[in-house]
Order: sequence, then structure tokens, then C-alpha cells
Amino acid sequence: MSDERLLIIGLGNPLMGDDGAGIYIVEELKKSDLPEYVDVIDGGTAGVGLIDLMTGYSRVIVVDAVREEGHFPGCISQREVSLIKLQSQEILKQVQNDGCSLHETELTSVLRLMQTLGMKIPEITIVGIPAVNIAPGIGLSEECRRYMQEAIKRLRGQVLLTPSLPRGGQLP
Amino acid sequence: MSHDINIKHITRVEGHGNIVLNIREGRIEELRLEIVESPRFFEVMLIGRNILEAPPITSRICGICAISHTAASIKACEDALGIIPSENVVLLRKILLHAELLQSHILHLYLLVAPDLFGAGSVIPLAASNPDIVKRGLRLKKAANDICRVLVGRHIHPIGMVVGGFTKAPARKDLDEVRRILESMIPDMEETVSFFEEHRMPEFNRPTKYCSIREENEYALYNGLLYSKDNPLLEVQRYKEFITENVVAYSTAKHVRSGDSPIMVGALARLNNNYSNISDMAKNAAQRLGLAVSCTNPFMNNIAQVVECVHSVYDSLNILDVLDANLSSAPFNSDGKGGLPAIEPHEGTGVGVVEAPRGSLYHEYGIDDKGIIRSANCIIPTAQNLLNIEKDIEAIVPAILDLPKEAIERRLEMLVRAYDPCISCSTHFLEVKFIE
Repeated sequence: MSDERLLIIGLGNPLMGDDGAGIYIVEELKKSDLPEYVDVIDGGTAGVGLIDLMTGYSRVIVVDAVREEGHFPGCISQREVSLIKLQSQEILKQVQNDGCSLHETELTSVLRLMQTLGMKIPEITIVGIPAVNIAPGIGLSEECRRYMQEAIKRLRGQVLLTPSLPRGGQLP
Repeated sequence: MSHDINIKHITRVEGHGNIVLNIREGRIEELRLEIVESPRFFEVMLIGRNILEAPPITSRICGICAISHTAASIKACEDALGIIPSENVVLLRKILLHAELLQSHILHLYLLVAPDLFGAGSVIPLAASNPDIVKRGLRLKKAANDICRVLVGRHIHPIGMVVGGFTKAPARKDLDEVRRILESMIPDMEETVSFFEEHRMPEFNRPTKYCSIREENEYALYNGLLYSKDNPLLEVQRYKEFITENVVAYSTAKHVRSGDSPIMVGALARLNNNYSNISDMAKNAAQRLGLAVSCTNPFMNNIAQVVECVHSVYDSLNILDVLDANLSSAPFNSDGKGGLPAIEPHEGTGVGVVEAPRGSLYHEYGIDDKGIIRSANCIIPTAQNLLNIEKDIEAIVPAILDLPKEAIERRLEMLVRAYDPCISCSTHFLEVKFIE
């Protein structure tokens, strides 16, 4: 796999209402034309599997539902799609908890494990979609669905901004 | 001696569970394993949907056991629809169950159990002190996930596994790739056995009823009859005669019994029930690791997982040989031409049971004549173990009462963890009716 490729990974569980927002968005993205250097993956609730998915990419965009009480206080507004650029050092500073289990393996714990093992951590941008209703059930809330288009627009912007173009690649 | 132990949120298990234990004058006054995850409504989500939607929906129940849920769901669908998959389809499903068992056991052994053996609080300090051990675990896990990726697109929510067969038959180069991956795992598996050989599990024995599926000539993960010692073998469709579920007030998961007895499912139960069918390499590992059946020490479930990993690697290689030979002679999927069979729904029910990494997994759907699901039931392995874990805690506490409180807590957490519980999945819907 080329280091110069860009990975967009959707996270969440579509059986838990708005928690699945990231999955719906990557499914939409897959239907559209994206530059050749972009890979799009439905990561579901991957946990430690994220390591394998991200390995080999220098840049990863994570699309996930977020709540105000999330791990990145101050970064997230409940009422708009947020874009959080994370430098690996910042992420690691914010990890309060060393706990690491499979269902609970937050992105941050995974990154911390990668760092401890001396693995290369990609540059990560999180596109956060405000989650209104996280509860058992299939389908997004109306409010969350409205954020989807905005998120897709901003994602496309991020893709075009990417410095990770293939050698000799042209902007689409 | 009095202790009031409240372990809030047992660490390094999947989901949220609490142990409440009050001891007064050397006697247990109160003991509960509380499951406090919000109940998940998977069964209700299936009602009113087309039966063919059940496998992709239920694959999302668990990010670890997605293939097992998909396989159990597909088997239930095929049972309800009267579809018999081809031999090749069954063989490929068996390899996938092995791959999932490998990635799940490896993750548990290396990321959740190994920190206990080193007295580390979690895998992160272990990664700092013994990076080679953690890297080996991640390498093995990646290999197991790669097998799934080659065969069904990915491990989480496998898109290639469908009712009747696979959306794409594997090419010979895919099978060659899987063989190469499996062979690359052998040195690390050998190291894994050596690693656990150096670490003994705590001594504690409490016999219980070990439940699994059983097949005459193979170590059953995909097909078999319901089995526990002293019980007649039962067809999976009669599972309600084999186990019963009860609601308990303090837990959002149900308690499961077979007859009057708590039961244990998972690696140790399977080895106790089906040891004669495990591969010679795995038997060799069991001997090295001091696991002799019937084993009644629940801590040895960890060791049973190591033994099963060895078996899964070698058995997958054997299945590959058969698949390889079959590929040129038999059509892959079941319609006789290599395509997927036609779906002709009729009213009825179907049951599918497989051995997931943590134990027997049951799916049952009732459908109408249009193939719409009218009833659904999923019984998940961890729910089957919960009552047994509680009974183990009850039995072990008197023997460890003299230890400091922190040591008691550590031992109890280690005991719960030995079952590799997946609490998020085991909680499911309780129907509440209001009488006005």
C-alpha cells in the first residue's frame, strides 16, 4: 500500500441510531467519484482492528458521530459538523485512561498503543457529526441526516486539500 | 473479617459489568454480577424485515464476532427457507469461523490476559515493557483478519457471506494466499504456546455443565448436535429443551441454565466435550500447557483458547486441501451451476447454531409466507456464562478471603476475564408490559 494514499474511514454502529452516521456517510461517498488515491472503508466498530486498517497511510480521515462529552473538550460543538485535526502528540496528551478493551478501544487508546510500540501514526482528521439520538434502532434522526450533506461537503474539501497526492497526480 | 467489595466496571472485559460482594465475618452476605449495559434491541429490530436482511443486520451486533453472528444468522435463514448449502460453501464457512476464533482468542490472550500475567494494568504498559509480546499478538491478529479480508472482503461485517453461499467464489489464488497466511502464523503460534507454558493459571476447580455442539468426526464449530455430558444429543431446533433463559432483576442480561444447572460455554467447554476430535498439534499443545480434560478450572479457559488457536491454524490448512481439490470438480455455490440458489419463502421457523469464539451462539427466526420476520431470538454465549461466573465467585471467595482487599478484587476480575465475556452483546431486550 502506498504511503501517499488517503484513507477515509467511517466508524460507528448503524444499529444504534445516530451512532451509525459515519457508516452512512462513507456509504454515500463510495457512490460518488473520488480521486484515485482515496480509499473509503466502513470500519464499523473495529477497535484494535483500526491499527491494521490505518497502517500504511500517512493521512487518515475518521468520520464518526460525536457527542459533546466526547474526548476532545472544546473542539466539538453540538450543533454543527466539526473538523478536528489531530496531531498525534495532542491526541496522546488527551488520553486520560490507560484502559484498553475490545469494545471500548477508543481511537485514542489505539493510537496510544501504536505510539508505545513505535509504530508510525498517520496524520488524523476527525469529521465529527453531532449525534442527537444514540439508542437502539436503525436509521438516523432527521437532525443528524441534515448534518450528513454538510459533512460530505467538508469531506470533499478535505480530500481536495490533501497533500497526499500520488506522484504526478492531478487534482480532479 | 469483613469486606465490602464493589468492583465498578470490571476492567479489560467487553462492556460494563459490576461485581457486588459483601462479606461479613467470613460469610458471603451478598453477591451479584451486575450487567448494566443498556439493553440492546436487536431482536425487535428484526421484526417486520425481510429474512435476507437478518445476516447483515445481526453482523453489526458485535465488532468481534461478526462472522459468527453472520454464520448463525445465515444458517437460521437457510433452515427456515429449506436451502442446503453446497459442500464447498460449508468448507469455506468453516475456515472463516476458524479465522474469527483466531482473531478473537488472540486479542483476548495478548491484550487482555497477558497484562495480568505481568501484573500490568493494561496492554499499554505491557507494550512499553514487553513490546515483542504485544507485537506478536497484533501480528497474529492481523493474519487472522487478513484471511477474512481475502475470502469475504473484510472481517467486520463480512459482506461476501450470504444466504445460500458467497457473493464471489474464491479463486485458486485466494486459497493460495490464505494458505500462505496460515503457514506464516505457525512460528508465532509456537511462540504463543511457549509463552503460556511459562505462566501457570491460578488453581481453582468447580465442576459445572459444559455445553457445546458436537459432531462425530470433527471438532465442531459449524455443524453439530447440542451436547453436554449425561444429556442425550439434541437437534439444534430443540434448543429450548437444552437451555432455558431467566430474567434477573439486577442484570439487563438473562441467566441461562440447562436443567437446573448453570452452564459454561466457550473454549474450555468445547475441549471438555470434543477433545478427541482436536488435531494432534493441538493435543500436543494441551499437554505442554497442562490442560487435561475434563478440566474444571475456569481460569484454564485461557489455556483452552491457546489450544484452540493451534487447532484452528492446522484444521484450516486441512480444509484448504479439500477445498483446493474440490474447486475444479464441484460448482461452488448451491444452485448446481455455481450461482446462488433461488429464494422461495414459505411460512416457518429456522434455527442456526454455531460455536462463536466465546461459545454456542443461537439464532432463531419465524417468518411468514412472504419471508418477513415475525419472531426472532438470539442467545449469545456470554449470557450463557453469566450465572456460572457468579457461582464461581461464590465458590472461590472463601479460599481467598484472607488476602488483602485489592488482591481479592484482582483475582475476581481475573476470574471474570477468563471467560472472555462480551457483555455488550449479551445484554438484550426485556419486554416490559404495563398493566393499566
